[in-house]
Amino acid sequence: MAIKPKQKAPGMSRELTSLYLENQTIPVSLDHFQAKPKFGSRAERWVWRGFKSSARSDDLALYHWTKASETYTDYFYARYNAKTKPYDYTDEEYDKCIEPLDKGWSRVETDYLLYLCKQFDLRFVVIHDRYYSHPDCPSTGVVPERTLEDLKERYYAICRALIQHRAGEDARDPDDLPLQATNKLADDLALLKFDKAKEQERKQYLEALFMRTKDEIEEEEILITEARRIEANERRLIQEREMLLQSHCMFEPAPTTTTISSIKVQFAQASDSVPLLQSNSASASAGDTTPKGRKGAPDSSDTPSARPMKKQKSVHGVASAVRTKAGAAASKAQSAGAQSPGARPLGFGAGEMAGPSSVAASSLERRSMSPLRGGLFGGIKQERSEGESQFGAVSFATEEHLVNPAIVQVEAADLGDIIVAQRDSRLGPGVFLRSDKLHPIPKNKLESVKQFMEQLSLNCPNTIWPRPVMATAAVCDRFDSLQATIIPLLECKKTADKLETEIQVLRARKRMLVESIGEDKTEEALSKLPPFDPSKVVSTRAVTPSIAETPVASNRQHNRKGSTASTRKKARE
Amino acid sequence: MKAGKRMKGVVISKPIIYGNVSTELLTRKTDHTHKWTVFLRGPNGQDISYFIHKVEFKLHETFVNNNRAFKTPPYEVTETGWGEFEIITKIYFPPVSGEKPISLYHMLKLYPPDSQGQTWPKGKPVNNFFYDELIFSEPTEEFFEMLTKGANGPEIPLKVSGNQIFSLESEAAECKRLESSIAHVSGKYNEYKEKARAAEIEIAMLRRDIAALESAS
Amino acid sequence: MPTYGGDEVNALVIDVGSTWTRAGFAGEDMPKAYFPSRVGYIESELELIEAADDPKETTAADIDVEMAESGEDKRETPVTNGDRRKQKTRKYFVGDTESATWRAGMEIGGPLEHGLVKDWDIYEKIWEYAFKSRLRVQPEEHPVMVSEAAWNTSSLRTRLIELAFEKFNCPAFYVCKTPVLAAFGTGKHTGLVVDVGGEMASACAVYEGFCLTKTVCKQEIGGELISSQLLEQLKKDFDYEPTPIFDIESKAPVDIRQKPVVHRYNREGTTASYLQEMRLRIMQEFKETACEVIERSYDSNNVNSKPLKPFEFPDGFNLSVGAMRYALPEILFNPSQFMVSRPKQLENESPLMGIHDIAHKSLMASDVDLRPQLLNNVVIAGGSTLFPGFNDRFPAMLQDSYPGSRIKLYAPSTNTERKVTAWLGGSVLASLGTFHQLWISRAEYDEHGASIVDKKCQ
Repeated sequence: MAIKPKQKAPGMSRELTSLYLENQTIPVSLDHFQAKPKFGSRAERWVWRGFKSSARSDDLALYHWTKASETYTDYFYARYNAKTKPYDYTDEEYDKCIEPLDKGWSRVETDYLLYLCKQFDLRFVVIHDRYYSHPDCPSTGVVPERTLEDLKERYYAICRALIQHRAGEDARDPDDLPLQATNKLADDLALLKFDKAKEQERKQYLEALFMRTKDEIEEEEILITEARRIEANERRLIQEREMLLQSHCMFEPAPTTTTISSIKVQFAQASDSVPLLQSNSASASAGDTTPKGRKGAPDSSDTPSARPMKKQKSVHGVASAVRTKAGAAASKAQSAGAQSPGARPLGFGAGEMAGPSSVAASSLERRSMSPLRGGLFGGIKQERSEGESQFGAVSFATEEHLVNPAIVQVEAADLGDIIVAQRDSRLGPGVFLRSDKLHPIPKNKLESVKQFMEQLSLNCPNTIWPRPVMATAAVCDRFDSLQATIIPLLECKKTADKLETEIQVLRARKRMLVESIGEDKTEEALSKLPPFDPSKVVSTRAVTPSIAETPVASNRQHNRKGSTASTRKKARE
Repeated sequence: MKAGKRMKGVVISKPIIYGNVSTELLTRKTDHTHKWTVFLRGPNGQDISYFIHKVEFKLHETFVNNNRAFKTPPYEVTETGWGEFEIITKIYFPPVSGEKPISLYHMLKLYPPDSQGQTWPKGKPVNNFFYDELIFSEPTEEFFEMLTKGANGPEIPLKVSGNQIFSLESEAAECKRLESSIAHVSGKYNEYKEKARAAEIEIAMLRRDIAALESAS
Repeated sequence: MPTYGGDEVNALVIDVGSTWTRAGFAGEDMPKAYFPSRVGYIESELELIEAADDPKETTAADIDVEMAESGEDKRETPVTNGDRRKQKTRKYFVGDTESATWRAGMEIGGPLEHGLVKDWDIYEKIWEYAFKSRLRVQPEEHPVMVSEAAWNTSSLRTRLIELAFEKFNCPAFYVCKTPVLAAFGTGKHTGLVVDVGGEMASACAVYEGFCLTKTVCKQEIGGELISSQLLEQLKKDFDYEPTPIFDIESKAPVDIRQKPVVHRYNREGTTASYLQEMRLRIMQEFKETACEVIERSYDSNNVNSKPLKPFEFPDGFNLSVGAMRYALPEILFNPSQFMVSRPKQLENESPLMGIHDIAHKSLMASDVDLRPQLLNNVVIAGGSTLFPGFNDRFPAMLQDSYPGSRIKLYAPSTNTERKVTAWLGGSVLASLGTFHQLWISRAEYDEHGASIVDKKCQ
């Protein structure tokens, strides 16, 4: 019922009045009554009831609260009464297959063991623990001090014997057993294999492992981390080492091969030139293939780092040997072997050979072939041993073509294509293609080498890897050595370029420093330095391939870079 | 057949030529563009069958009977086609040798090389042969006899003539080329080595100077 | 649908220790009855008149106002001279308050010695008190689960089962070794259980719920030893013997370390054992409040840098305890060094092992295959492990012995739980649905005799 608002009483604010007087209906919050939840069904009645369990052997009734409505079939937890079923045997089985197994075990004890296995569910640790203290331990017949392994071994032996016996007991022939059955048999038997000695050994190792002292453990940790580090860096280290070695020396492959190949050539030339001999009677003037140049060549050994190419000289020797010189050649070869690797006059009658001026000489030559060959043999043997030890840069004298057309005919029949002795002895029996026997090039260098070859227009087109156009022995050998020289060349070129850039950088820095310091100070500082000794400069790139050096070098550089930056800053301030 | 005793330290090499020629077909009946012949022969045209028992050319699967075998020379296969593929030439040796057959691989080349593609006159055959040498290492005694007895005449012609493009002359030429390259390369190598060495010296000097300058500044 | 794994059959679990007894219902998380095992008894001789069937009782001490529950036990020691039979009877006073109240001539005795039941009377009295007075149950209606020491003997075990079935008429019975129960109480079925209780410290390997008897290793060091050594130390350092509470008539505050000013009742008839026991109770409080275990090895510099803790004894004597409070718990780790005087029970033993040595010996006796698993599950139980700092010190000492292995310690989280770990295990076990097939029933006992306990309770 609305009441007209009265006059405002003095002292009371408007709002208060309105609250107080207006409407007179005071809002009241009603208690929202939460009704009791209705379940629809009545509450279950629970009773304190006794129950029996099928897992028990007696009739003990234990009591618990159950729903009154629940009908009791079997105790809920009886299903969890899982027992492992260890193997059990009948008497005949025992006598038949178990008894003969191990004489150290009596029937009584075996039964006891199986009883324990059953009770403790094959927990051998516990079985072993209680073996002698169990109340059912038979008073006699138990061997004292059985170890855990003994018990296990006996048990598994029994199981294996039983399985074997039971599988074989089937009326069927063992061969008739289906594959599955035999496999299963094999599987079972394999599972039950128990090697006592191994187990004992294993336990010994475990003991030792367990008893390690703190120091040993720490040592082990250190070793493990070291090994891991080495493995991680292994590949890198090997690569680095290889690169350094390569750039250091010319020959990529092992020294023996080069020497052998060169020896190969000697004889190759010997053989090839022999047919030449017979066909080249007339054409003495096979143009540029005069031996004259060659004659002059022998002194190439004078050049310090130059080594005369053995193969060229050797052919020289063969082609133009004078009989008298043959012996000298042989002796020269011996002495050549004795000489230092530095200067190697490949003295297979090399330098001193008279020119093959006379065709007649070649006839002598032929006759001298045999003793020469013998001499060559001897010499070559020494050569080879020399060659094996040497390892270094080889440069090639500008020899000319080996084949000497000015050679008289010689019967080739008996000599034919025979190439004897050390050449290709390492090939082993079989047939090969010569081009296959070229030296392989590592993949990453393949392209660059091929391009290089093509620049020199030496490569046979349409091939994946470089090969010469006409792959005879002579050609192949030269091709090989060419390859072998190209690769180090490329490497050297790379390093030279790198060094160049480094020089540029350093020069720039020096310039900066000089600018920042000023001319006078520069003079002063530089004059204080001792004179520069170039010979003392240790090459960090080539000579000693110690890998540790390069990181140090780069570290120094880094440090310097850092310091120069700071000095530059200082200079600016 | 049991092979005889092998001769230790004996190595025999026999030169061969293998490869193919191909000519463009001027009249096209099918979509085959070229007629080509793949072959295996001696460089001087001589008979090489005395040490070869059988030659098998394995062509691309699309050819009928792609395994062509020859027991007698000429060891050649002539076909028409349009595609380039790898041909495997398998050489079988007589049983007395006790050697396993050896395979040679080469690409059948029909088209002229790129650089000359435009100017190649029609009808001019495209040659793609390879010279190689079969190396018999430690042959059996019987095979050795076979090899040496059967050799007839010079194996490699002296000069280039007509069909034979591999000759002793060419060999000589190649050797010469190779040698000059070797010299050239080794010269270059020395050059670079010297350069590198000089560079190192200079680097060391520069470093030294820089160190001094830094300490002075 | 039964609760996960559990099916309570209202079994009773009772775990009698050297110092404390715990009893309660299976399925609960704390024992309802927790009282000291030390009971008071007054012994008196009783003259029997032959003719009478029931000998009259004329007990000497009737001062107490105890409830009728304090039981009596007639021990029959017939004296053959003459027709007079004299019987020694004891009146027992079990329970916290009962045993602590002063009575003239009351002695204090415990049921166990060296962890095994020695005094069967007291033991029985304890059971009675627990069931009838505290839990207020009829044992005939409930299966009873009992704990035993890991080194319990067969004869003791059979006597136990006889007690349960004959005296208390239990319908079902089971006895389980304490380490196994302690492991279960922490939720583990495999582990190395190190139990440092009132009287004994022991270590035992438990594997899949079976105690490996060969790995049991024990020594008589425990909380009581520490308390008694504390007494000795106080006497040595301050020439002070604490006055038990019952004896204090009045006291006045004194300054630190000053002799107490106290008036004593000095009652007649105070027995020595009672006095000692009451003193030890004070020490226990002192031990529990002030003592700590130092983290690493005991180092005098380290110790002296630690803050002092003030403690006031009931008679007014107060201290700021310093090194002593670290030194005494070190007995646990290094008994020979830190003991003040060697108690008689340890006289013959040498060398004395610290608990880490005990654990080490136990571990070494176990199979080498198991060791990593055991070290990974080390369970700590017993009230004497509640010293602050013990949880860090103990595994550190173990790790020193086995630098290569991974050691993980499991201990109940709350303090009160650690005191009753074994009881908890019993509670868990006796309420498992799958356990109920293992009880020894009355019928089985009747059929097979007492030896069935050895067979069934492994």
